[in-house]
Amino acid sequence: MAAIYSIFMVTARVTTPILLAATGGIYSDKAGLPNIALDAMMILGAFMAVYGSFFYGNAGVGVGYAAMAGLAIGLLYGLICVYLKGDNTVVGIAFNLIGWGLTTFLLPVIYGTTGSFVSELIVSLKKITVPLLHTLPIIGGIFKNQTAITYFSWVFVGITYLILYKTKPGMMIRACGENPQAAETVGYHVKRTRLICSGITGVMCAVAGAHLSLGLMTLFSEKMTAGKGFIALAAVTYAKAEPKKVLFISLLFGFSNALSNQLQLLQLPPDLILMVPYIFVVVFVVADPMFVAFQLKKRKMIEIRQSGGGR
Amino acid sequence: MWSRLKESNAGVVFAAVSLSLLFGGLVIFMSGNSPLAIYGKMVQGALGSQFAVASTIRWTTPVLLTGVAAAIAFRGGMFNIGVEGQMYIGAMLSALAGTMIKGIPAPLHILICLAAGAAGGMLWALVPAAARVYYGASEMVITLMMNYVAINLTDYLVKYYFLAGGAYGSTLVTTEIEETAKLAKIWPNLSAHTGIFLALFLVLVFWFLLNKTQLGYEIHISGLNPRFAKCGGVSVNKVRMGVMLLSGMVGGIAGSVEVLGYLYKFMSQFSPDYGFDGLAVALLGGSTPAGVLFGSIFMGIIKAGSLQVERATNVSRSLSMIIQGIIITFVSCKAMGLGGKAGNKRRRNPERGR
Amino acid sequence: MEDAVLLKDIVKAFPGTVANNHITISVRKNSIHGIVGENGAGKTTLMKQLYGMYRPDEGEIWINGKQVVFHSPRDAINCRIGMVHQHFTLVNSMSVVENIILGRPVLKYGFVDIRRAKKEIGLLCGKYNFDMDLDAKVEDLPVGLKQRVEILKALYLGADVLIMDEPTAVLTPQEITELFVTLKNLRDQGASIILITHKLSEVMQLTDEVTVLRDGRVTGHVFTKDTNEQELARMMIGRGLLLHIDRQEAKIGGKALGVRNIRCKNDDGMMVVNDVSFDVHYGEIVGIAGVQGNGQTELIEVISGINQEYAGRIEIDGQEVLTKSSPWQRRAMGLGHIPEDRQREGSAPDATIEDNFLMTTYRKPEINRHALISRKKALQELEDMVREFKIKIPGYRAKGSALSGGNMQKLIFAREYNLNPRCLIASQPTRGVDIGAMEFIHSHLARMRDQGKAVLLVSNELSEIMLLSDRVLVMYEGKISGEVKAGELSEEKIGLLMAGIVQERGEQDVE
Repeated sequence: MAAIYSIFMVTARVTTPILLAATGGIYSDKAGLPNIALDAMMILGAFMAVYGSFFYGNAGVGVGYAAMAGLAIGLLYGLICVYLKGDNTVVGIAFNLIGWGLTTFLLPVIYGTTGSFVSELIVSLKKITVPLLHTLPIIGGIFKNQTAITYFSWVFVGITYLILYKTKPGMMIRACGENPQAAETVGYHVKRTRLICSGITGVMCAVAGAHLSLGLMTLFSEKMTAGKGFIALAAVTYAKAEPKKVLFISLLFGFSNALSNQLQLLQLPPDLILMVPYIFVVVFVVADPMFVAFQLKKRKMIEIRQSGGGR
Repeated sequence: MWSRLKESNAGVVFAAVSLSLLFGGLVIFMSGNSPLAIYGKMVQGALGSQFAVASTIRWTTPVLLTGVAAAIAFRGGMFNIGVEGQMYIGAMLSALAGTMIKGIPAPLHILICLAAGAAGGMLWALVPAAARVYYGASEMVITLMMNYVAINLTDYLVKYYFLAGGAYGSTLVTTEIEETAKLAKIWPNLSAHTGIFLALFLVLVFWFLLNKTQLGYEIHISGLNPRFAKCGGVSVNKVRMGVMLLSGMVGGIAGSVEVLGYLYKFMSQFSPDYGFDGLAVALLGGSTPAGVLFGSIFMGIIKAGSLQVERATNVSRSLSMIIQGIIITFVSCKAMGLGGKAGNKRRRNPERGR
Repeated sequence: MEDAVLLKDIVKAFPGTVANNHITISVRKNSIHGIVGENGAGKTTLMKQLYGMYRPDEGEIWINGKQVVFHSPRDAINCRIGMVHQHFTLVNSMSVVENIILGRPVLKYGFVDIRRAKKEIGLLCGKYNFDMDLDAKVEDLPVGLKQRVEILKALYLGADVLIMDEPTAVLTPQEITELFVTLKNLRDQGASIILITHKLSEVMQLTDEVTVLRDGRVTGHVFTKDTNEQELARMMIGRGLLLHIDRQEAKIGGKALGVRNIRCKNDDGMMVVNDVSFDVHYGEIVGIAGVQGNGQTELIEVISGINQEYAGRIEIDGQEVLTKSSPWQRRAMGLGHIPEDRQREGSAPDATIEDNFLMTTYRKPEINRHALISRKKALQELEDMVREFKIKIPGYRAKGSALSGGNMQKLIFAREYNLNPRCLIASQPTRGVDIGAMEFIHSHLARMRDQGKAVLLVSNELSEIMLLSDRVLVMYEGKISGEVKAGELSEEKIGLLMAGIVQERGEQDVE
C-alpha cells in the first residue's frame, strides 16, 4: 500500500512538466500553429527559474522570470512562423538548437561553471501538502509534497477545456486552427490569435521547466530536459490537442517516468532503466497509429463476393 | 548544379549567415567579450595554421556525414531526427568489429567495420521507418526518442560487457581497435584523417543518386509532393522506407568513421551533437549535396574555431550551436527576399491557375 | 434613392497583373446584380475588397450613400455586408448553430449561451422558411444545406447586401432551383444580392442587372431583360463562345476500357462506388456527369490505380488489369490519366517544369537505362511537346508554380499524350483554366477521338460534358443512375439523373 501511495506521489510530481507543457501546446495546436519548440522553451524556463531564484533568493521570482522568458520565446516563435512565414517544423528544430546552445553557453558566463550549476543559494519551490486530501487511500499521494506548479497544472487542464469549448476565445482558436478562411471571413484575426496562443504555450512550457529545475531538482544542468519537451509534443500530437486525452497520455508518460525512477531503487542497471520512459513513448507512438490503421483497413476492406455475377 | 544553388536562394543563405553572425556577435558582446576579437580568433583557429586546418577537417568529417544522412531523409519527405542515435549504434558496432576481429589486412578490416556501422545505423532506423510507412506514426518523435535509447543502451553495453578497464579504469570506453582497423591520418600527429575522403565520396554519391538515377528522381518528387508521385505510379512507401534506411546507414557510417579515424575506441557520450549539427547543416543547405558540403565546411570552421576560442577565452564552444540555430531560423523564413518571392509566386493573382 | 453599393473607380494590382483596373459598379437596392467574367477576370478580387479582405489601391466604396473604408471583414460586416464564399468557410467539427454565431457568439457571463442562440436562430430560420437541424454537425450535412448555413451566417450578422461567389458550382440542378427561390425571396424581403458567376444561363434566369468584367475592366453593363447569353459571352471574352465543336461522325471501334462491378469504400467505411460497370470504346468520348461527391473521384482513383483497394474487374484492350497494379503499370498498358486536381495530384509546384514532365517519361526505356536517367533525352521530348502544344513556359528550370493554370494543364495533357495512350481519362480537364487553353484541350480531346482513341471524360461542368461526349453516364450516390446518348442530350434529362431520379419505362423514383 505504501508503495502504491508513493508511486502516485512520484507520478504526480514527474508528470507535471509533461502535462503542463503539453496543455500549453494545446493552444498552439488548436490555433493551427503546432509548436515544435516545446523543449527549447522548457529548458529556457528551467534556466531562468534558477537565475531568478539564485539572484533574488525567492523561488517565486524564479518562476516569474521563467514565465516571462517563456512568453518572449513563445511570441518570438509565433512572430517568425506567422508573420515571417517560417516553416514551423524547421524553426522549431532551430529554436531547440538555440535553446540548448544558449543555456549551455550561459552557464560559464553567468555562473562560472560548466556542465551544471548547483548552489545552496538556489531556493527551491515549497512542497505543499493539501490537508485532509492527502490522507485519502491510494491516490492520496498526489496531494502530498507537490509544488504549486503541480496543482496548477491540473487546474489549468480544466481551465483549458472550459476556455476551448465554452467561450468565445475558444471558438475563435478552434476556428483559426480548423478553417482559417472561415475565421477570417467572420472577422477573426488569425495571425494575432496564433501569436497569442504561441505566447501562452511559451509561458506554460517555461513554467514546466521551472518545475524541473526548482521543483523536481534544485539545479540547472546542460540539456536537463532530456527530451521531455518532445515527450510532451508526442502527447499533444497523439491526443489531437484534446484536453482530456492530453491529460491521460501525459499521465501515462509521467507514470513510465516514475516507474523508471522507482526501478532504479532496485538493483537494476541504471542505464537500462533510463531507457524505459523513451521506449514507452516509442511503443505508444507506434501502437496508437497501428491501432488506427488497423481499424481503417477493416473499414475499407471489400469482401470479394461472387465477382461479375449479375450486372 | 550551380543554377540549382542559385535557385535554392544562395542569396538568402548569405543574408541569413550575415544576420546570424550579427546576432551571434550580440550574444558574445553581452557575455562580456568583443565580437571582433572572438570571430578573429575563430578564423585563426580554423584556418590559420596547418594544425588549424587539420582541426577543421577533423570537425567537418562527422558533420558532413550526418549532414548527408539527414539530407537524404529530408529529400524523401521524412524527418530523421535520430541520426545521433544511429551514429552511436554504428560507432559501437564498428568498435566491436575493430577489436574482436583480429588478423586480417587493413583495407578489409576497415571495410568490415564500416559495414558493421552501416548495418547498425540502418537497423536503428528500421523501427521508425516501418512505423511511419505502415502506420503513419510520427518518425520525428520516434527517432528522437530512440536517440536517448541509443545513448543509454550503448552506455549499458560498455559498462557491463565491453569495458576496457585496465589503464582506463572505470571510464566508459571499449578497448582500442586493432591497428588494421584504423583510418590513416593525413598529416602525422594531427587530427585530420582519411575519413574525410570517404565523406566527400558519399556526398558525390548523394549528388549522383539525386540527379542521375531513377530512385533519386522518385525521392525528389516524393519529398516535394507525394500525392503527385503516387499518381505517377511511384511507390511512395518504398521510397520513404528507402530514404530512412539509407539515412540510418549513413548515420551509422558517421559513427564508424569517428571511431576508426579519431577515437580508435567507443567512448560513452562521444558525440558533441554531431547528429544535430548534421540536421542543421542539411536544413541550412536546402538538403542539396552542394549545400550540405558547404554547410558542413562552414560548421567545421566554426567548430574548430570555437574550440580555439574556448582554449583562449572563456567563451564556451556551444556558441557554435547558437549561431547554427539562428542561421537556420533565418533561412527558414520564407518572407526573406528571394526565398519569399519564389514561394509567393502563387499569390500573384489569386484568381488564376486554381 | 441611393444605391445599396457603389464601387467607384476601383484599382487593385498584384505583382505582375492588375486584377481590377478602374472598375465602377453600382448595385441598386432590392435587386439581384450579376457580375460575370471568365476565370481571372477580377470578380472575386473585387468582391473581396467589398468584404474587407483586401484594400483597394485606388477608388472608393460607398454603402447606402456613405463612403466607407474597410480594414477587415469586421468592418464590412458592420456595414451589413455578408459574403457566401465559393469554398465553404465552415468549421466542420462545430454544429450548425455554432457556425452561424461564430462571428458574434451569444454570451452569458462570458460563456457561450447555446440555448439562447438556438432560439434566436430558430426565429431567423422561420422568417426565411428554412428548415434546419441546428444541432447537426456541419461535416455531416449535404452540400446544399451547408450553403444554407453560410447564408444564415451572413443573415445572422445582419447582412442586407449578400455577395454570392459562384454558389452553384457544387449543387444539383434541383438544389440550384431551390437556391434561386431563396435568393429571390431574400431580394423581395429587402436584401440586395450580388451574384458572381461565369454561368451565363444562371445569370439570365436569376438576375435583374448584369455587369461584365474582362481582364480587370468593365466591358459592359445591361439590364438582364434586354440581353441574351451570346451578347454576354461576347462582352465576356470578346467573341462568341465556341458553343459546339466540329466533330466527325462517330466511328466506334472495339472495347478499349472495360470496367465491371467496381466497388470501393472510403476511409469512413462508406461504400462510395457501388457496383459500377461500363465500357469505353475506341473512337468515342464517354462523359461521366454528376455533382461532385457522388463517387466520380473515387471511381477514377480506382481505374487509374491510385486506389488499389477495390473489388471488381478492369480490362484494357481485353487484358485484365491486376488490382494491385500501379498507375505506372496501367499507363504502360495504355491507360492515360489527367488527374482532377492539378496542384495536388497533377504536379509538384515546387519542382522544375522539367521534373514535372519527367514523371511519365522517366521510366521509358529510351530514357532510362539500368535505372539511370538521361535527362538530355527527356528534355528533348519536353521541348517537342512544348512546341506542339504551344505551352508558354518561362524556362525549363523554372518552378512549376510559375505556370498559369491553363499552361500547366496543357503540360499535364501533353505529358499523357506523349505516351500515346489507348484510352485517356480526363478528370475535370478545364477546371480553373482560361478560355484559350480550355478550347485547346477540348479540340485536342475531340481530335484524339477522331483518330480512334478512347476518352473517358469526367467533369462537373455539364456544358463541357454535353459539348464533347458521344455518350453520357450520370453518377449518383456511387452508381450509374443512367445513360444518355448524344442525340438525346438535354440538361433537363441529365439534371434529373444527377439528382437520382430515374424515370424509364415506369420504373419508380430512386431516392
